[in-house]
Amino acid sequence: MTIFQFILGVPGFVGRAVILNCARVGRLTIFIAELASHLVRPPFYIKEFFQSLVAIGYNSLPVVGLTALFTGGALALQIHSGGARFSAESAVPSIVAIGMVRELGPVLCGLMVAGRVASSIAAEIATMKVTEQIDALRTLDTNPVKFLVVPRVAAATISLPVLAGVGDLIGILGGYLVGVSRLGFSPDAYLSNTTRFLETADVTSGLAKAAVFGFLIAVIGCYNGLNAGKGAKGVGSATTNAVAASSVLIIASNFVLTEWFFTS
Amino acid sequence: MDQPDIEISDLRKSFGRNDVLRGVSLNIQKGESFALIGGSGVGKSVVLKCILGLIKPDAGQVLVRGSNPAGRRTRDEAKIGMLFQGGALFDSMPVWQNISFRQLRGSNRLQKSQARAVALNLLGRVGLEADVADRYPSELSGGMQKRASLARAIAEDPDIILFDEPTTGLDPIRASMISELIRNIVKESGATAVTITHDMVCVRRIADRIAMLHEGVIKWSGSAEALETTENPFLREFVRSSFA
Repeated sequence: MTIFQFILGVPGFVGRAVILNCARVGRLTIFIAELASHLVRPPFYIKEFFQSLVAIGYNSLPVVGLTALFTGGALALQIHSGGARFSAESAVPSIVAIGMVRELGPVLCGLMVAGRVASSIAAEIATMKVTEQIDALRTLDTNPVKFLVVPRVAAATISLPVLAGVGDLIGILGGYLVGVSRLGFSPDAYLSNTTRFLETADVTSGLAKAAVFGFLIAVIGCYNGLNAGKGAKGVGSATTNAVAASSVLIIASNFVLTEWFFTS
Repeated sequence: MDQPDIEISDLRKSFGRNDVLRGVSLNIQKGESFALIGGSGVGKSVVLKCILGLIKPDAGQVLVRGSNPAGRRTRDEAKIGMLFQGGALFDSMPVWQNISFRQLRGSNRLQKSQARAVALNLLGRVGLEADVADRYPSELSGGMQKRASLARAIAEDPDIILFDEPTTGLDPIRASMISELIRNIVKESGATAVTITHDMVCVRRIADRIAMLHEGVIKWSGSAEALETTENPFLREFVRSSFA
C-alpha cells in the first residue's frame, strides 16, 4: 500500500465507522421503541418479572452493599484528610451523606450492577439466540421482546433505585463507622450532622438517576444479547459490549442528569 | 386438487454475497410427509425458517394454508410445531414447563397441574419416563433432548410439523428411534410434515415425497420409491455417499 492509497483510505475508514455507528444508534432506537410498545400491551409475564427482580435486585445486594460500605468509609477518610487543610473536618458527615446519595450511591450501584447484570443478561440471551431458543419462542407464538426484554427492563428499572437506596444507607454507615472509630466523632454528633444538611431532593435525584441507570443496563444487555453473532465468539462479544456500553452510558447519563437536576 | 398446505414459489434469499436460495419452488400437500434433502450449507434450514416466517425472503413467496407465515393471522389459523436441530429447549426451565410452555401462558392457559398432566402424557408419547419431567434440559442426553423437543412440538396438536435435522448428532440406534417416533406421530396426527435432513435412512423411513436442494434450486423431486430408481447422477451419488 502506498502512502497515497493510505491517505485516500482514511476518509473511507472514518465514513464507514460513522455510518456503522449511526446504524447502531438507529437500531437501538427502534429496539427501544418496540420495547416501549410492549411495555404497555398485554400479555404481561408476571412470573418472569419476579424472577428478574430476584436475579437483578436481590442477588445484587451483597456486591452493592460491600461496595457502598467501603466507599463510604474511604470517602470519610478522604474528606477528613482534605478538609483538615482548611479546618473543615466537621463537614465529614454531611459531605459523606450528600456525596453518597447524590452521586456515589447511584453511580457505583449502577456500575456494579452493569458488571454483574448487563453481562449476565447479554450472555443468557445471546446463548438463547445461538442455540435457536429465540426462534423456538417465536414458533411458540411468544414475542422475545415481550417475554425476555420487558420483564428484565421493568425489574432493573424498579430494583436499581431500591439498591441505590440501600447502598446510600450502607455507604453512610461506612462513613459513620470510620468517623466514630477512626476520626474521633461522637456517634450522636455524626448522626445529627449527617441529617442536618441532607435535603429530600438529594435523595430523590439519586434514586431517579438509579432508575435511569437500571433501564439502560437492562436495555443494553438485552439488545446486545438479541443481536449477538454466531457461536461462542458472538456470545463473548455480546457480553463484553454490553458491559462496556452500559458502563459508559451510565457515566455519560449521570453527567446529563446531574446537569439537569442541579444546575437548571 | 386441494390447495397445498405449503406453497413456495421462486424463493430467493442471499446473505451478503452468498446467494443461498436462487428460486426454490415447492408445493406440499395436506397430510403429506415431505423431506428436503441436500448437503450441508445448501440452505435447507433457510427454507424451513422462511416457512416459519423467521426469515424474510428477498424475493418469491411462501404461503402456509394460503397466508403469509410472517403474518399474525396465519399462526392462529394453522398451528405449526417445530423440532429444532439442537432441540432448542429453554434451559432456564424444567422439561415439563418446556413442553407445556403454551399451556402455561396466554389467554387459554391451563392450571399448573393440568399443564403438567399434559406434559407427562406427551413425555409418554415420545417414550420418555415421567421422572424426566422435573429435570432441566442440560441434564438430558442429546437423544432425550430431541424427544423432549418433539413433545413440545406436538403439544398443541399442530396442523404442520417441521423437523430440522431430527437425527443429526445421534447414534444409529437413537436416530432410528427418533425416525420411527416421527413417522408414528405424523401418521397418528395426520399433520403435514416437512423434514430437512441429509440422513437417507431417516428419509426412507419417514418421507412420502422427497426433493433435493442443490446450488440454491430444487434439482430433483419425486416419491420415496422413485429415489431408489432415479437416473439423476447427482442424486445417485448423494444417496450412494450417504451409505458409504
